Amino acid sequence: MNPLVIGGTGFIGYNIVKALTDKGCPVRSTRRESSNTLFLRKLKPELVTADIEDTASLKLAMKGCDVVFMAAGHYPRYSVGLKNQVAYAVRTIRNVLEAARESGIGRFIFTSSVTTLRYMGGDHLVNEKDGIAEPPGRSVYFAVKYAMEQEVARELESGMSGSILNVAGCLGPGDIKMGTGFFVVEMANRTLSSYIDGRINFVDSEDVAEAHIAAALHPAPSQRYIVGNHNMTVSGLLSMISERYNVPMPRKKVPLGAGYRAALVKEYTGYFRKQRVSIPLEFVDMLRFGQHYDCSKVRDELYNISTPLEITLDKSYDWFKKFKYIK
Amino acid sequence: MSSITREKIQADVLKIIALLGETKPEKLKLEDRLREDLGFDSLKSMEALSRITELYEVDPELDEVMELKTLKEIVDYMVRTLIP
Repeated sequence: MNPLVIGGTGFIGYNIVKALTDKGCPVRSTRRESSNTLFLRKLKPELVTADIEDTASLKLAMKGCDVVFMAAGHYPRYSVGLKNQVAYAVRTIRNVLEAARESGIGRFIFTSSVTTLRYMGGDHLVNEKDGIAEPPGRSVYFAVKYAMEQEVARELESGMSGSILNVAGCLGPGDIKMGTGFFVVEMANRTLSSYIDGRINFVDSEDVAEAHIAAALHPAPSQRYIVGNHNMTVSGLLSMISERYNVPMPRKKVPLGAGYRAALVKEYTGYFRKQRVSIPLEFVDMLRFGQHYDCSKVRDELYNISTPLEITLDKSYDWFKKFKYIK
Repeated sequence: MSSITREKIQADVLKIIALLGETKPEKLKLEDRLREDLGFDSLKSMEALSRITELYEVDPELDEVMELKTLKEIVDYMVRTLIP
């Protein structure tokens, strides 16, 4: 395999590069001019500068490759300006697909999110057959992910070989921008004073990377896999972290409605002040429309995702501690 | 590598920090702390360290660079690494 990882400086992309490198596979990874490459450089992939806005740079990056792992894509910083954000996401994923098509890429593996899956409500375990649907709520992140996935699905239906991996809440080493790992860091630093409860699914980042590689190597993969593992609640996760690392639980549980309103205010304040939003709206929407998933298909067809959550938490904790996220 | 001097490294560090902090190099002081004085969050701090080390093709020990807090500490680290 001669793989290109688009988004190797991000959480999942980094783990894919690491898993491929550990297997002795030479890896090429894209980076943007402004990317933080501190962690990725340690893995010593071939680094090429490419941008999803620039099809020519993507074609150059794909030269000589037969597999593309698309672990990047537009990530809206704020839940503001839905129409423009979706248009940008569609335009840039089309650039990537065009480059892959014209470069004769044999396998295209797209990292998506479980947030694109149809919201079923109730206790139903969502599976791949439930499909994707127009996302509920006002999260721009949901809308962007959904729009990008539709573009990829269309391309796969038109004959491109590949898979869409709908990844759940990812925990583990390499969470450079502190996504889901926020829970581990904030709890360990005793800075999480309140939380919003809801259904959520967690999966180990190294299992996610292995599932991606298995999809690339599978002779005839399915179009979609839900890549998750542990169906649980936020309060269940926090209790586990509290007991395991001997830190107190947050004092206050915030009702969903109040949490949503607070997140809306934070989004707009962050947007106007150009600051990072501490609790992004998409996170609250993930809990408002949180679901549990049937993850048997990925286990049956690609990779036996089975890392216990305790092990994943320890890996995550150790990584954040080593790099001073945890004080 | 023989043309690398402390002054050159310092000028480059200030230039990169000023660019990311949307200010001018002459407004920065070596005692400035990335977070407390310049308002960099952890992501922006890492981006700065990534750019500085890439510019000089330095492969840093990550746990060591994560400890750097002031511009002087960054300059000292680069000087220590590049000028024997």
